[in-house]
Amino acid sequence: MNDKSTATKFDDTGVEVATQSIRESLTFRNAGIYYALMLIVAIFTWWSYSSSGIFYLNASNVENVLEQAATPVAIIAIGMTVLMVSGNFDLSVTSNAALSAMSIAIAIEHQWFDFLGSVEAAVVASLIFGIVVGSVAGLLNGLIHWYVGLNSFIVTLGSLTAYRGLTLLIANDASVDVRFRKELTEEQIANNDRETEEGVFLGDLIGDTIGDFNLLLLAGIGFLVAAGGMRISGQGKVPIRIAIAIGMLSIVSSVFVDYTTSISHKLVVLVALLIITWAFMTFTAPGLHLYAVGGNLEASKAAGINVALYRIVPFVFVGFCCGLAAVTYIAEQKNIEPNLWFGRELWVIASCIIGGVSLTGGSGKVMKSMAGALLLYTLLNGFQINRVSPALQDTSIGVLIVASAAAYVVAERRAAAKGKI
Amino acid sequence: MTTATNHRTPASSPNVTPALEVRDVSKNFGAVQALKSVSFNITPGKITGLVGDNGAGKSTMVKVLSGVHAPSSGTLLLDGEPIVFSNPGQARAAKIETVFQTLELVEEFDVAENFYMGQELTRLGPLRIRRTAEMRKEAAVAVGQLGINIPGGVTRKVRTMSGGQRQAVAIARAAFWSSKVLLLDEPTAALGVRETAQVLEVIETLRDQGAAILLISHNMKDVERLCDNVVVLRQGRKSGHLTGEFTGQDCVSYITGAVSDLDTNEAGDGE
Ligand SMILES: Nc1ncnc2c1ncn2[C@@H]1O[C@H](COP(=O)(O)OP(=O)(O)O)[C@@H](O)[C@H]1O
Ligand SMILES: [Mg+2]
Repeated sequence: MNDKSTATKFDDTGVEVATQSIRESLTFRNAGIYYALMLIVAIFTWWSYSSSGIFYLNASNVENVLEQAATPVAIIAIGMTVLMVSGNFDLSVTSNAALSAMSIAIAIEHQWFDFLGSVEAAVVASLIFGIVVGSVAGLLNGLIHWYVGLNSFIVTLGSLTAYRGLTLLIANDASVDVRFRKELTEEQIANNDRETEEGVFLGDLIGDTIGDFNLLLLAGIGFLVAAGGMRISGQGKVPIRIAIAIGMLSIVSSVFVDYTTSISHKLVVLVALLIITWAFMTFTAPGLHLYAVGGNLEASKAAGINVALYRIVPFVFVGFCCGLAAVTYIAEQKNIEPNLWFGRELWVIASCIIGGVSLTGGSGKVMKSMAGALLLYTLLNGFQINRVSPALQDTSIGVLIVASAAAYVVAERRAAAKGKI
Repeated sequence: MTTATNHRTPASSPNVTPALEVRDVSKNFGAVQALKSVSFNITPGKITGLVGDNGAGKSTMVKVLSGVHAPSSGTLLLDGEPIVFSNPGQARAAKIETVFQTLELVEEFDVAENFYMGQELTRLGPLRIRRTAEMRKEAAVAVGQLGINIPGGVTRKVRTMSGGQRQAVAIARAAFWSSKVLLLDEPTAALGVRETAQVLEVIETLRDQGAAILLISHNMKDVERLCDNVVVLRQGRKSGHLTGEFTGQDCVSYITGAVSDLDTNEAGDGE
């Protein structure tokens, strides 16, 4: 009898919570970034159409924006979100990414991995090397922060300069070619292939894209996968049904609407990284510990969570993302400049702030940071299409960053006031 | 005289073995000696009070017992076996649960998430997918059994709760994980009259279930009513140990230093 009453009580609260969470999740505080993104896309669609007759939302322009956003900003913003949730900060990200990219270029130029026998193996080894460099650079930040006890802002302010300096140093202050000088295959030698003489660029080896896909179909599959994830983690029925409905709708409409465009490698990397990180942060116990450590370090310690691990590993993950950004970039380039992505770390951080990641740790969502990055690049792209002057572009984006941060603070304050009364 | 002997052999009822024995524990923070050779026992089914002025070393003792601080010297015995904690996780694994003065809840988490923090129920092996629904259900049952009422249920975020509700959540969490040894550092400090009464009832329920409880409090009425024996700390030393019949006024005399077992001892030691 007693048992039954508690069970009913739970069911009651459970239902109450499920309906509440749907309403909750649609509030400005929780979904504002998505509304802002939709609003801006709508504005540009109307603006572009009325001024020049261009359909802004055409598949290739969508792909274009995604691709511009992906490297390095969106990919690194995923790592930055994880790090900021854990309660830290990294200003050195684009210096780190440049260092990783330069390391790959140097490894190729000096033929460090040619001993592996084939160009393919050397390519893979060079790219992995770049990711390792990025991760180690991140680890170094993390170790100094944790074991010396220095604020991560100060540590990474230092490494921002140091990693850039190191990049210039190993590059000898000049750009470095990303070209394999070694012969490709015996067949190509036999054919007296011109590429063999000039060397081979990475892009030639792996191709520009993975092929043409219907974006609606991909999005539909994505929603169904997300619904599966929510089911496994025991989320409420309503959000799962909504995800399934949107997924099915996208897939069905993909049959009628030809929303096809070529998908580049970096988009695949971005989406894979995004889904894995999102699932980790949302559904797993270690993912929750990241939020715990960022939200209340002492409480996490008292709960027996290995706080050193959860404070250091996110730095490594950001570094890994920097390496990944370098890899996706270098695959399309013929040479690497030592001042690559100079100052772009601010865009990474801006994406996270627009996405509502807390500066003090303990809250933030990768999907929203992603929307933040897309918002920035949608603006940029829309401004370019509609020929807005660069000075006005910068001003608008600066205003957007402050305005969105202010909107979050105000919404948060109002919610807190309501909750307390 | 009697109290002085008492603190050498504190287990006044010889047939009950102490759950946790504290032997000559000292703790230094650099030059500050927060604890100086303190000994006492925590016994199953009993509430041991730990009282003293601000800065007497009460919270430091709790942190030593819960694995937050390693003692500078001295030993802890759990069920008669010497035990060393190098982190709070090990103390929790040994079934010692603590409600810290600062509560140690994550504001952005809901009740269930705070309950299971660090010890989540998971599935799919190394993927460690959280079993959210099950954890909510278990937490709701545990909260209900203690008679604690949290409007909004276990999915309510701690951020939106009052001081009393937070304290109740912290106690319920500790009780949920261990009914063996419970360390409660000023669990009623932030509470109103009605909430205090509720929390004290919860503590009595836990005692009746056989938990060995260490209770830190500044409210001498509560101490008089609940505690079976009281350890008094003064400037890091154990200045008294009250057992049997005692009043809140007796405790106050020890706390203020009007009465002390120490002074006589030290004088006797021939300083
Ligand atoms: N982490 C610490 N570092 C240095 N000194 C500390 C630390 N924790 C406590 N102390 C000192 O130890 C003494 C006892 O503090 P505490 O145990 O918090 O007292 P109580 O809980 O009895 O009020 C105080 O003098 C306090 O300043
Ligand atoms: Mg204290």
